[in-house]
Amino acid sequence: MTLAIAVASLLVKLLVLAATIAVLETRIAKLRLFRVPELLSVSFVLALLAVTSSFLLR
Amino acid sequence: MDGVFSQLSVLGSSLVLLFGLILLWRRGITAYIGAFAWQSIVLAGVTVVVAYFGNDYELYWVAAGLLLLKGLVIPRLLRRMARRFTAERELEPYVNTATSLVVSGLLVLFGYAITRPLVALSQLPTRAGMPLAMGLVLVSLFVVISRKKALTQVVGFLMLENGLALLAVLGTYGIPLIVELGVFLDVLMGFLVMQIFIYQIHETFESIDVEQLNRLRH
Repeated sequence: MTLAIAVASLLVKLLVLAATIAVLETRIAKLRLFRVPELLSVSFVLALLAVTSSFLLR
Repeated sequence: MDGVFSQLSVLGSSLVLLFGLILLWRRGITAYIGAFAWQSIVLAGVTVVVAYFGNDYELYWVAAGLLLLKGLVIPRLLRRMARRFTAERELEPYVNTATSLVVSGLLVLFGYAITRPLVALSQLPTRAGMPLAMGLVLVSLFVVISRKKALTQVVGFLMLENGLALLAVLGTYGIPLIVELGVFLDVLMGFLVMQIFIYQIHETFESIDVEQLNRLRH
């Protein structure tokens, strides 16, 4: 029973995340070339924050 | 139960911080206003979560006030103001976008460092969100000092206030309603004063670039 709930919630979470990422990616499809470094620094900062929050909060 | 509570509050405060980072990444003023409106809505959501799990009914009123004032009224006033300044994009800030994003990441780390004793001392389930709120305060302070357009600085200032409100809600389950009402009034009055200043700057210099204010020196 718990396993079924876990699998179902994981699937729902993945679906929501996939839809969000698809919407975001299609909305910035026309990213101009000179803004690519900014995109890279955004992803760097997001990764940094993710690592920090998962390590420092445990 | 506590696990759900702390996870929801951390999720909410991370979202609030991410909406703050949009201020450094985008350039149009309309994007800033949208980010501020959504940030205030998420902040009201965090307040509702704290009110529900902490059994504090006054906080529901605080959340309603947040939603009304910062989610609807101030964004509407900002949009009306931005309509006059649509050509004013944040094209050349003092610190460029890539650098300022990296700096903001470091500032959030610094926020983690300085709230460490606070988090260690606190027993509340919401304590994990406090570094993020402090990070938002530092990031929006950085926005205020590194951007040139007056309207961006005003949005940065309002986000700073959001960060302080989030810190208060997470750290102490909210301040009394009467104090919160005073803060709301202060925010509204401060915003109206800043609006008058922006119109004056625009009238004098035909631009809302604060760089122009250097010309007043001699």
